[in-house]
Amino acid sequence: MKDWNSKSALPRSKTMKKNLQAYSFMLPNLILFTVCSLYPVMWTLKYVFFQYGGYGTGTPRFVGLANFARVFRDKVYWESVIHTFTYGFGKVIFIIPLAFFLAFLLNQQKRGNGAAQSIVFLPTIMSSAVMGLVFYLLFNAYNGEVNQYLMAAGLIQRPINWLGKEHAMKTLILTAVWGGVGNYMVYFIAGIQQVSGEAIESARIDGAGRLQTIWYIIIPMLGPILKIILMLAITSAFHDITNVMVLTEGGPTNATMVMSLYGYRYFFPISAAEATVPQYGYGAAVSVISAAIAGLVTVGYLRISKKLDEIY
Amino acid sequence: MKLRRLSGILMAGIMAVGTLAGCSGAKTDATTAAAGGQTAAQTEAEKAQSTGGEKTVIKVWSKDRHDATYVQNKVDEYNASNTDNIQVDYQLYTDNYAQAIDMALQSGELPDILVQQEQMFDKYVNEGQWADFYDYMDSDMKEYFKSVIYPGYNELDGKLYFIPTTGTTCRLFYNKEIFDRVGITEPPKTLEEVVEYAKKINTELSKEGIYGFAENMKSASSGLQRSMCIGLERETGLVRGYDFVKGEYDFTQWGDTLKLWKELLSDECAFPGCESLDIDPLRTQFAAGKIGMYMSYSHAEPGVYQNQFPMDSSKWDCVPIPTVGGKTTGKQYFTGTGGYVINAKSPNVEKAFKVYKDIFANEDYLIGYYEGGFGVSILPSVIAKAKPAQDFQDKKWLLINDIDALLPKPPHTAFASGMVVEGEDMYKTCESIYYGNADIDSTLKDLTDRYNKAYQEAVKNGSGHEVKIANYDPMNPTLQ
Repeated sequence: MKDWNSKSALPRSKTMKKNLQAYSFMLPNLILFTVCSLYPVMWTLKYVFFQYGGYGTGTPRFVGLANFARVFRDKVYWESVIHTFTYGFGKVIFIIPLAFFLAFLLNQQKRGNGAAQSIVFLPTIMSSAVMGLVFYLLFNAYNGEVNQYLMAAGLIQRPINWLGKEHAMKTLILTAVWGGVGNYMVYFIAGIQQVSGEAIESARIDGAGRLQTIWYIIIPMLGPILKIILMLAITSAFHDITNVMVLTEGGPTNATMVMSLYGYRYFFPISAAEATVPQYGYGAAVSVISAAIAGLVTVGYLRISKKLDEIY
Repeated sequence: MKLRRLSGILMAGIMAVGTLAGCSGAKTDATTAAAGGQTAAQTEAEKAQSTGGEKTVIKVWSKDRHDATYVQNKVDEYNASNTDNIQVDYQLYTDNYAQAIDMALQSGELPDILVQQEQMFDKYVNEGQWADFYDYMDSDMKEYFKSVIYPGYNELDGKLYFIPTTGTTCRLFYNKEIFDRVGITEPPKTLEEVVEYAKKINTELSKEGIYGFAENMKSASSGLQRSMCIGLERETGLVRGYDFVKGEYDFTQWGDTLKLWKELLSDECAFPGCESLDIDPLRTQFAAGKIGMYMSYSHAEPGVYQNQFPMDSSKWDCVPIPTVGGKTTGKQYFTGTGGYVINAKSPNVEKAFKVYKDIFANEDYLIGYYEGGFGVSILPSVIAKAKPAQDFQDKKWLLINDIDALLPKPPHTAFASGMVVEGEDMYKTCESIYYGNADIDSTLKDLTDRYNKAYQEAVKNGSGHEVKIANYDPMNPTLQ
């Protein structure tokens, strides 16, 4: 029997033409990948060994591994790493159960659920900067709606400083949960719809209640998609900076400084009044170490998540 | 079959070209955006060219929104009336001005005339990017502007790069009505009084949502550069902690001031949420009568309370930023504004200078600018002839005064990218004191050490140079 898949099944010239066709289709993405991903990464890797303030600031000065040594001495950076984990953990711990709950609730064939799904999903398509601004208006201490309602209800006497050192991280997590829950809900809905109706039916015939059906049938069967959802939630938490920039700029006293924003500041000083001048070399070293941390966490997660695959 | 493969390759080709076109399109867009797109002036000039008029387009970039309408009107008048076949294309870049200039320089799209800003001026002056005005100025013009030529500031090595026509400095703004309500009869003269008054206002009026003091501390550098740092210049005679006589940093002298600022920004004195406050939200609250005092730039606030957030002029005034115990050992910094640089590498430098002279260095323009409240004039002739807005006539501290002076640049601004300070800069370090629990003395000692180390390192590796001024007198500062 002729193996149509083997290379020898086609004449050499035809294989070449076929390959050319395939490569031609790949070319646009390859160009974009090279220009937008590979080149910046190589550029960053080059400058980790230099002290350089950007175009017009003279020749980059080779400093060897000094930038890396400085990162390890930089207390604020390591605090920002801790803040990133706090933010990521806070986001994931709330967003996943909430998204699952909403998906389960709104997946049922009830009137109005379609509209409710759209409303929950709406923040996902909203610009993060706009979302940050809306939350700033809601939570600012002096005339924010939240304080006004709490004071009107007699629950507080003096405005709470939601964006102050004590509460800023909680407010950021809340913004992230609100902005992202719709997205994860859609993933969960897709997953729930894949769950075999027969399995659920069998469980019910066997006497399983609603909670038991969720816990013993639906959640285990969501294993593969839950793995992807968790990975997306974790990795996105590592590079969420728009909210932080708009709401707090990493402050006060770096209480909400996350590692991606910390690196970003050295490339692009945040505001016009920012005293920090660009330090591309140090920013590149910070970015490389941050990427390594994010990579380690992802690899660690993938190893643990293999267990999830084995559940079903 | 062959046709299908061919069409496949063709499709891929189209996609690749599309992608590349997308890239180049983006570049075109960016360039167009950087240049502000096809503007009326360009269209006009192209029309003129097609009819044989051959108009020269002189591009002007500005970063200032507050005077944009005024400048645009003057540019339109000039375009309508000039007989030199010149068309001025005026563009506004309020955000990322410095980055837009960097990009334009790299792509060879730098305009002919640009509003001068310290960061962009310093960055490119040594590369010969800015034209020497002396090459084009006649003796009348030199005479007219001689009072605003400052060696070491706008005149470097005998070359004049820009002419500041207005100036700004920082003051403490206060609400007279709130002061009256709590029985404060005089504005504060010392920092201790600022704390005392803020506490008094908070105690008596916070139930009504009125608080004693506010500052835009969302960005420590933005907040402190218009407030505490300015007071410290007069109090210590140091410029951002730098001692020009000794040639070293000494932040330990900031201790007493920071103690009071910590109190000033506490719940006892401050408006809630100063940590996340930007300047405009602060101004809206001041205009609404919710804030007793704050510190900001002298040139901007009259216009803000006249147009942006209307407030009765009789309700507010300003005074110099108070210092600890009213101590004064030096002058405070004022910034020259209203200056323009000319791109020395433009093919139309001469015509660009003509445009600059006819529009921006024209006395009518300068008088109108001052009278319109867009800037506080520092030109004696303009001050003598102009009838500025009532605020500038009634509130004497809005004007540049004898407490203000141009100050020399400390190392961290003189060679900003060459001096790399490890850890947090002076502003964020202060934030860790007034909003955090950092110990004042040890933190300021560490800050001093870090800045001096970075300075010495910069001098050693050649990315900086020694900054020391022999016989420097903070009460009568010289720039070099």
